[in-house]
Amino acid sequence: MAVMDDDDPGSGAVLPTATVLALEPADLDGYSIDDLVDYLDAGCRPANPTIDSSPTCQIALNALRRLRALGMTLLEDEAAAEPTPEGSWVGALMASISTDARAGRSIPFRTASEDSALSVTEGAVRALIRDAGDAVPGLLITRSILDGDVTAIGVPIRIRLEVTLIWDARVVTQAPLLRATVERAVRRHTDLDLVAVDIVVTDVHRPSGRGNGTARP
Amino acid sequence: MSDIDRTEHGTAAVDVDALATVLSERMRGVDGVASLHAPIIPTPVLGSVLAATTDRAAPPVRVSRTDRSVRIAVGVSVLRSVPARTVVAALDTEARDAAFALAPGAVVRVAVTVVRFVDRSDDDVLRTTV
Repeated sequence: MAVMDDDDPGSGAVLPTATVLALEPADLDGYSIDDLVDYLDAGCRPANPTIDSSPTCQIALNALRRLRALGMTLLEDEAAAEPTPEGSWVGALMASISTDARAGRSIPFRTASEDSALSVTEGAVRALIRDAGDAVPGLLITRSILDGDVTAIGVPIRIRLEVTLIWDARVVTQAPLLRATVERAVRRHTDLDLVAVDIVVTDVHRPSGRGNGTARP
Repeated sequence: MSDIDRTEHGTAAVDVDALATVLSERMRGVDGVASLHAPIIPTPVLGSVLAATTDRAAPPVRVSRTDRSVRIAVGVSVLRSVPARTVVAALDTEARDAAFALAPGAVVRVAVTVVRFVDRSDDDVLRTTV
């Protein structure tokens, strides 16, 4: 599996997906993102217990499944057909898979005892945000940023979401819905002092056959 | 070994591996737990990373002992239907109950990290056809 080189719009070069994702096998319990794509292609059979029990592999697999659910089964073709590498939404999506798969910072829960260290990984929260966003039609989260010191209790945190707008969806109705959905999920599962969810539409995507492909807003 | 009794007549102790095995079984039964994983490992550059699963036969809960303290660490996949803070608090309690029962008097330090949210328990998720 490969995607277009995001750093060189004119090259038309195709890079291995793992390069674009900047994922090392160590990040994925010894497997590369290409291994996971192959595993997905095979219907996750025969079962690989290591992949099946690895949180990082599962987070990456879920992100890949999400792309396919959007009709991205021919991701390489889509990328090759859209020579707009700088900030391309495919590139952003794939790069964000890398971010999600990493555990990142530890976000603490409030505890009564100093002998308890209860936390959730930043990667798990980002995946939670992305999953929550899937419930909102017309918008696709390409990147999420937890802005603030999430490792400390009581520090105000803003969530910045970069999203792709699927053509025909209305920002004025879907953005507030996305904000509310993400906020609800984050408050339910974390002790973050969430003060705002900022949404930026960075791309508008027209599904195949409905226009000229990706357009900048 | 985790000493639970030390007298002039001898000592009694609990092997940390045995404690890890017992804890793993008990923690799997906590409401909202989809699966258990090895704990995260802090790194200076990338933040924390998840410990690789090198020995699937080993219990996911890691137990270590220093002097009179017991340190327990585990990663957990949490069902989205149960608030994560409820799940980690229950795991904390479960760990302390087991540790106190098997190693009374020990200072127990517990680290529980949510590493993933899932819709169903892994028994169901793993074999879902894509």
